[in-house]
Amino acid sequence: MKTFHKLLLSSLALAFLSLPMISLSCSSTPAEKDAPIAGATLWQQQCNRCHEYRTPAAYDDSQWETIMLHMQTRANIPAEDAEVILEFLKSAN
Amino acid sequence: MRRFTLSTFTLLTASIGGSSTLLAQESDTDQNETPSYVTQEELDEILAEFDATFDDFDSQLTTVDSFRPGTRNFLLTGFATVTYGDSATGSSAFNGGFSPIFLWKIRDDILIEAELEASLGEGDIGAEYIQLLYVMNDFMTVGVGKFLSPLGQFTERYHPSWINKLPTAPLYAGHDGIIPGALVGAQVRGGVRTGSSQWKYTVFVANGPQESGHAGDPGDPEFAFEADGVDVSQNKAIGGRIAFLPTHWIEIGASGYSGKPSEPTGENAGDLSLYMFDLAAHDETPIGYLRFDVEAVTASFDTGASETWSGGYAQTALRPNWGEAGQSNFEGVVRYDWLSYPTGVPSALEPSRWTVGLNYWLDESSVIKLAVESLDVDGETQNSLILQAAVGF
Repeated sequence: MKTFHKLLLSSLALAFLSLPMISLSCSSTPAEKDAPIAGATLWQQQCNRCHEYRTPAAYDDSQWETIMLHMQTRANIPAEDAEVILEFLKSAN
Repeated sequence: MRRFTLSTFTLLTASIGGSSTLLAQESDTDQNETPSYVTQEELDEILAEFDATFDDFDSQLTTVDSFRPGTRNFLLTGFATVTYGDSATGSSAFNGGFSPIFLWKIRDDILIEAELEASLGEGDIGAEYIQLLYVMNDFMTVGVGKFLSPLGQFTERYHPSWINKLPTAPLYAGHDGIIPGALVGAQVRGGVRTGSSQWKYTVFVANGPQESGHAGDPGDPEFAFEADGVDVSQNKAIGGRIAFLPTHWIEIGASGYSGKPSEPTGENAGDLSLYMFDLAAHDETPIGYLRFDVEAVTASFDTGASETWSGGYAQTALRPNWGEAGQSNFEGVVRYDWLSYPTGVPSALEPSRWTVGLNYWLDESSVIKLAVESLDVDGETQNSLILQAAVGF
């Protein structure tokens, strides 16, 4: 139980340091919330959620198609986002 | 490039044709005085016709390509790791691993994925996952085979060494943890965007766990979740995870697992249930890319008297951004993780650990990690230094 309290305290301490900084950098207007998100933005948001994002030039079109299907499934990325990201990667590689 | 070549060829052909026409024109003019030449409009029409023909040819070539066997969409990827650990107790060792991942996109809606794991330390090769995936529609994908446990986020998403910010996995996860690393069965999963928010879900049915023995402690049963394709008791385990992202930078998830572990004889050994909570907040901030993760698990094994394990971790990582100088190659990480055994277990240790790490990124998928960890086991502290190089390829 003691360790649970430690986890709680450490979580709160780390959250105290991290979350305000993130939330401050992410304020958006209501209009922005409903606007379609560009491929480059989605690529950074979705890929960077788990790992450093690979540059578009890292793979060719055919390889990106395979990787996007793999990542769409692994990270439960909405299909519409995956489609936009793939289009961006294919246009920028 | 092809278009340029074809257009050049077209122009060349037209030029030669034009030259021939001019020669013929001079000859004809000499013979019957009838002018014969191509006007600019006619030349444009011919060129347009050529382009249309080649466009059609390109289109047909693409169609043919799409019917070819999937060799074009086969990809070998994965990651490799080399680790050196030095403990204050005097032990030190090199270790390493190689995990190739095979991806084969057979059609737009079918993918086969497999990850093998070869570890120098353990000296064996195993299949981390082998799965056939079928995309039913935009919101649902079905997977069958051996798949990474979707409970929480660490096991499924952060376990590859080039993604994990520290050289080690949290105490409750990994191969010696209390949660399944992989499951054998079927899963249905997907994601839905609703404006700026997202929902993600995974549900699965898998071979039931087996009680695989008591490693030196009669009160501390161990479970084999993967069961090597065998389900002795025929009691399938069920579970899943649901996650909500109110905005792009935060993901909140809850997971559950319920199974009836069987003894090697096939008899039911009790009820095993597992619940997890996870939260991840990751985004670019004015000071750099900041990640905050927390995950907690509690597992109960009920044989009449209930035994409960618990564990969790909290971690934050910052990769500074120096403004015009761009993103730093350095990244700092701090993690606290812990594991707690049932109170009835004689060796009921409560290991907890602080780890501080400094990473140096060579590129977006190659990293050198230096970490200092302080492991507290029942009041005794063990300090270690770990150096790890990890490459995703």
